[in-house]
Amino acid sequence: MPRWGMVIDLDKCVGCQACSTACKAENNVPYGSPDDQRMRRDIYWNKVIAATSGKYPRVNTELIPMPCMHCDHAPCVTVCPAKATYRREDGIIVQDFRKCIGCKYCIVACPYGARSFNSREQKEEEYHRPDLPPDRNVWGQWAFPTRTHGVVEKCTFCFHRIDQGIKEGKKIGKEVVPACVEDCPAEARKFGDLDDINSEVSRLLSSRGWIRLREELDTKCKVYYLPK
Amino acid sequence: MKKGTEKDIDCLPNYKEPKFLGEKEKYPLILLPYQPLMVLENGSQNYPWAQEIFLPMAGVGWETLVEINSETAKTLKLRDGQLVWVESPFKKVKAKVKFSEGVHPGVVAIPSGQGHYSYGKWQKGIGVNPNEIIGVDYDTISGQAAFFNTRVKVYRA
Amino acid sequence: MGLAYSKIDGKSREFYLLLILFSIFTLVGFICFMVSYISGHHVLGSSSIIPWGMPITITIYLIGLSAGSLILSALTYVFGKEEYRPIARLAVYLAIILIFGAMIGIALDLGRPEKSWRLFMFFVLNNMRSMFALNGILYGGYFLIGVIYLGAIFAEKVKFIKMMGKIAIGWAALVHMGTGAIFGFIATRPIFFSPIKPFEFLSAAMVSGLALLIIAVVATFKFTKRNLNQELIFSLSRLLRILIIVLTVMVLIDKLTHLYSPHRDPTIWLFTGPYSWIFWGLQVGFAYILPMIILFHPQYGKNLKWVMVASFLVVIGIFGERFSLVIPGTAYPMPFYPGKIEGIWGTAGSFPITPVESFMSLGMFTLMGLLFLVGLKNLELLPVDQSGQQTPEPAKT
Repeated sequence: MPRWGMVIDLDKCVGCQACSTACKAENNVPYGSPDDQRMRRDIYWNKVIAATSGKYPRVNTELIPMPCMHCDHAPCVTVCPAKATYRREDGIIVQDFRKCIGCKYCIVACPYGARSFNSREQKEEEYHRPDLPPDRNVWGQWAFPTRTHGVVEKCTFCFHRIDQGIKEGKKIGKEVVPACVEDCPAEARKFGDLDDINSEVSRLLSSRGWIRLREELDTKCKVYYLPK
Repeated sequence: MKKGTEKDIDCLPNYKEPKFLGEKEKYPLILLPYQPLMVLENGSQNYPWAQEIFLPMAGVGWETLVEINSETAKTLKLRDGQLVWVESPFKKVKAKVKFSEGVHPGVVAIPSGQGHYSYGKWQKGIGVNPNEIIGVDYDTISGQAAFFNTRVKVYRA
Repeated sequence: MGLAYSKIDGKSREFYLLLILFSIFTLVGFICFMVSYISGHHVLGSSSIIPWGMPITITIYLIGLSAGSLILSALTYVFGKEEYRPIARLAVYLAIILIFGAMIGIALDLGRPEKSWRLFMFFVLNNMRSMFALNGILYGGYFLIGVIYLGAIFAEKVKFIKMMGKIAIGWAALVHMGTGAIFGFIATRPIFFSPIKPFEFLSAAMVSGLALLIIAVVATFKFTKRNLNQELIFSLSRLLRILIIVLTVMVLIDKLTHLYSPHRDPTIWLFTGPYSWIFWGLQVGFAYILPMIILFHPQYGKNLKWVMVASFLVVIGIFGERFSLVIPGTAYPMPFYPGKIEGIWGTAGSFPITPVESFMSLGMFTLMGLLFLVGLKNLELLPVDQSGQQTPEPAKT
């Protein structure tokens, strides 16, 4: 079974946040309002944080895009009481909206802040995207193009694209990639099978030193960063 | 020579003191109305997705921040996140202050791109426009419009 | 023995006034719940940084009160201390309605309450490695055990009562240690993460349960014009001060461990940050220091009014302890990357107080008050003293 992972090259990332916006467009994530952002209610599946260190004039700001890390030892999978979030065989941590009871235990447990709680009923015309291809509206473990309020949502590595790509026999990592990887203008994000020695991600991980975030918690996450 | 430019052009690199609008004693800081990434191409902010990520280096959206060096802000007795007036010899605007290490101690940096009077429901009435308070002047050497030579003072609102 | 129990008449004007007041606030709370159910949790002020707000805080507080109350009723039925017999039935009933209120509280805080039946699908649909799911077994079983225990007490089968009492103590201890484990096993939040959390929660439960019992007993006996043996309350207060000492030691060890470990910044933020007034004021001041001063004082410790004051302080202070665990624990911004994280991802969360949430919380408390009053009227919970000189008069009509 493949083990899907992502490599983000911080040398190339410029902090433009096209990945955040592409993810919102692809997955029908609701936008917020000024109040929502101030109250930290807005929903981000992929966020870009800015970490500053130093004092003038020796200052450095790092811009780090953070999707869901899809950890191999995921704290969120351990604590979900309704088995609404679980690890698929190919390593993707799935969030099943129809089983989620909204207890928010996973938000407390996630070390990367990757999960958001959908706290507001969105207006139908602002949320439902009839322009999306019709096969989005199938019932299944993900495809709820509109999510009800009261459930937790997070990045899914666009597994609808991956599953469709495997069915059509395309190469994942080259022809079929998640939306954030596809839309990065600097080609800083790469997706692929971590267990395959010929994939792009394996090649990148062996070319330079890599780091993972919050290594001290030992979540064995599958999003690697190549520092500058 | 065109009227208003320098009479003697020195063709070797040299330094000429810039001319600022406003006296140094009364308006100690220099205003820098910069353009963040979202404004560079077409500058339209009438999209909620664009407004949410307006200032990635500051990690906020939907508003305008007055960025001051933290040492300068401490001498002005400001607290991070406070509302301040930025006043120039011509006008004044009010916005939230942010302590930023990446700004020169003598400079106040305000992003432009907000402060629209209309232009759509997602940006109407949000933020302030620093270009409202800069003076109308031209560069004494080249004759082009000068945007960055207004002096301001910052105080609590 | 020599104790008979009776229902209260429940016909006085004050009784009906209290009944109507509690009913109104419960209805308001229910309407607020419907508002939050239809419109979403944004009216409660919840956010992605502080996911657990007032309803969960009140729920764990109520579970503590319930477990404490039940363990103390076992003093009579298991350990055979006869002097506490007049209040033992009341304690068991209080424990039952408190856990009922707590289970309703959990259902209110869920994002999708109509799926709360999923919490009871043990081993079938649930992930039993999650402490939330294990607690589902514990709370459900606890409610059943409490009801059977009360039934056994009414039926007065002594051997069965003793056996149920032993099971009830063990199960109640497990219940609140399980609640502590929900918090203590999360490594992401340094303020939560500690193996002593189950024991800290158990001590807090006994302290708050005992204090609430003292208040409930004195208040109920006064309102129904029954005479109370004050020595009973004073011996309970002596037990209370020892339990407070145990709790203080547990919390001290927990916070000291956090101050020594590498993740000491969140604990220092708890001590000096925007929520420090809840920690120092409510938790340390109201729950530990002031009651200990009152109860150990040679003069005040023997005065019933001061003992009541101390119990009130404890009840409010232990609520502050739950609050100062849940809210600052989740509000501290997580260090994703070394350096100062700018903007919304790096600022500590704030807890807004919204009217919908406040009225819903008030509704939870008044619902339990309502059940308490109804139980007093319909179940034989309060003692009637057989000796002639202390005949209680029924409440005046």
